[in-house]
Amino acid sequence: MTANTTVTFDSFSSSTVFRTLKKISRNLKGIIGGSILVIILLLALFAPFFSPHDPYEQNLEKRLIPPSWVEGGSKNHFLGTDQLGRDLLSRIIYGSRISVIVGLSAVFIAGFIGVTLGLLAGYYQGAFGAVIMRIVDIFLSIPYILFAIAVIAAIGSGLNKLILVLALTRWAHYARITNGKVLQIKTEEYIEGAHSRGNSSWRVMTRHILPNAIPPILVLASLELAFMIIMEATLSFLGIGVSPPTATWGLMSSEGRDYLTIAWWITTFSGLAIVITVLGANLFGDWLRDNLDPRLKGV
Amino acid sequence: MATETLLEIKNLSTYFDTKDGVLKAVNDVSFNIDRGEILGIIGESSAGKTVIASSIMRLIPYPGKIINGEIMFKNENILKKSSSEMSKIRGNEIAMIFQDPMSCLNPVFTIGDQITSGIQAHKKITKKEGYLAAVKALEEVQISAPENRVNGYQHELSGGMKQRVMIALALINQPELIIADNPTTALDSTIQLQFLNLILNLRKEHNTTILYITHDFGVIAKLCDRVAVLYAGEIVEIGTVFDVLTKPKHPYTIGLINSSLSPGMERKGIKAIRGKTPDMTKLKTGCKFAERCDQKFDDCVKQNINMLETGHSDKSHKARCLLHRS
Repeated sequence: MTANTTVTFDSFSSSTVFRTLKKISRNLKGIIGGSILVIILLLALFAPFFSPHDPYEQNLEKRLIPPSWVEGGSKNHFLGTDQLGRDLLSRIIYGSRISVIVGLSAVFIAGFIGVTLGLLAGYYQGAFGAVIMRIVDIFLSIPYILFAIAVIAAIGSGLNKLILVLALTRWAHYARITNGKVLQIKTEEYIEGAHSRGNSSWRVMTRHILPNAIPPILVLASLELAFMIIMEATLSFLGIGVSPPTATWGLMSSEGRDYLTIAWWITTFSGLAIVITVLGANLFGDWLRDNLDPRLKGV
Repeated sequence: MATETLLEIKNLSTYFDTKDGVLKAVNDVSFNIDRGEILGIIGESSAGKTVIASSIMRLIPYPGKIINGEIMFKNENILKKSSSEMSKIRGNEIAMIFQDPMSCLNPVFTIGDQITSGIQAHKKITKKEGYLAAVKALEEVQISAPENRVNGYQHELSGGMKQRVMIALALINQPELIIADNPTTALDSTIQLQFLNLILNLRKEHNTTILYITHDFGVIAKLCDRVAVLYAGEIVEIGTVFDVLTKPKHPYTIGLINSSLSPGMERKGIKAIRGKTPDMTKLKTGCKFAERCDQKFDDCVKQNINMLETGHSDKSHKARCLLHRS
């Protein structure tokens, strides 16, 4: 009898259902974070399809309508309207486009600059590497919002410039992570071996060192995505990011601030959009880190 | 049979400019290797063995530098080559087998990819050709089921297999000279023997010249034709393996042989050399071994000592010791 019970238990614990559940619970962060990111990406790609209204259509007769479930709300405008009578839900959906574009391109450009310089500095230690890494230190020591404001004041605002400025404020983080990793990998014997087999420096750098340095860079990039989205929102909130009437979450929460006492929903929902997206990116980044490079835990 | 000198090293000095001063890792080292010969270099850790190897490859880690000397490979000075000419020599004409097989293979590539990439560094081949060449190379070093291993990663192989993959990698472009830097330290003795037999076999088949670096006299006795004993960056004795092992002339060599173990010897029989290796940043004039030598006399530390013939029939047996001054 006892033996039988054990067998049943064993077969349960190793059953596919059980294993799947276990797998899901272990990767919950990744699943939630990844799903959020995918949903945001889809919203941004197919914004016209998902939005119930034109996000730029003004209608002063319908201004400041509260969300549909609040007294005085309209079924036509699920999240209500803003101070110019534009549909809030549509604007939030369109706003995801800016967040996605700015986030992804800023991360990509910053990553490209940082990884390239970090790789070169790590490979050619000596004076060249020292100079690059001191520049990195300088960039890391400048308060980034101050730096972004100063640069935008100098070169002017606009979506392209905003992306460039964000990339400029953050490339140093990639450079430092890449540099550290390259310095470590460089001393491995398999790299010496690659040299001894007649691989050129360029080949060793790109084909042998870089692939080994990718995991921590990937983790950083996913966490930086969240940071870039917050930065865009911050700068737009401060009025030096993307200019109106473009729908961006930062700008919307800034505009809604003036009406906070009579129309709480504008700032609340655009802020919530930022929070959810950033949470998604962070959860996903955490999950990546746990799975790719457990040694980085808690960094 | 007329012998041809493949590699000749003249007065090689390699220094490291460290914070604590100049570290003289290799000091005025000269030797040559004939084609098809196996020369062993033996010495304690930090004697400069590996630096000799990386000097020949011109892959000295920062901040090391070759200060002086010539490395003549096939009558051409390697030290005068441009870095792109050097890349063509590395892996193609001179190949290297490294100390630690555990860390010698790139963890993110398959074995096959790494062997293929070794060929691709020198000539253009298709993926298919690379795959076939990799399988053949693994077969040659007696790895079983090479067509499966070729798609595996380094963590799936045992230490002995990794070391064989290292040989396959070194041999892939049929180099004329192979530098083996302590390749058996990480292997147990049965695998070590298989490894040595494999090397001897390869020499027989390809007439490859081998520079074998080790700290094990057993390996030297089994494998090498001649041996050079290195101490504190200097060659202190050089000669045929038979001469050096049976009639060692330098007190350091004698001490080294006495301190090696052999099965069945009495416990009290091991004689360690007293003292420790000198600080390589503060080398003194004269015999570097003088401080640890029981037969030292005043002249030993007055001036640097040249290699002297040891007086028996074979003129190639030399030692850097005033005891043999005539």
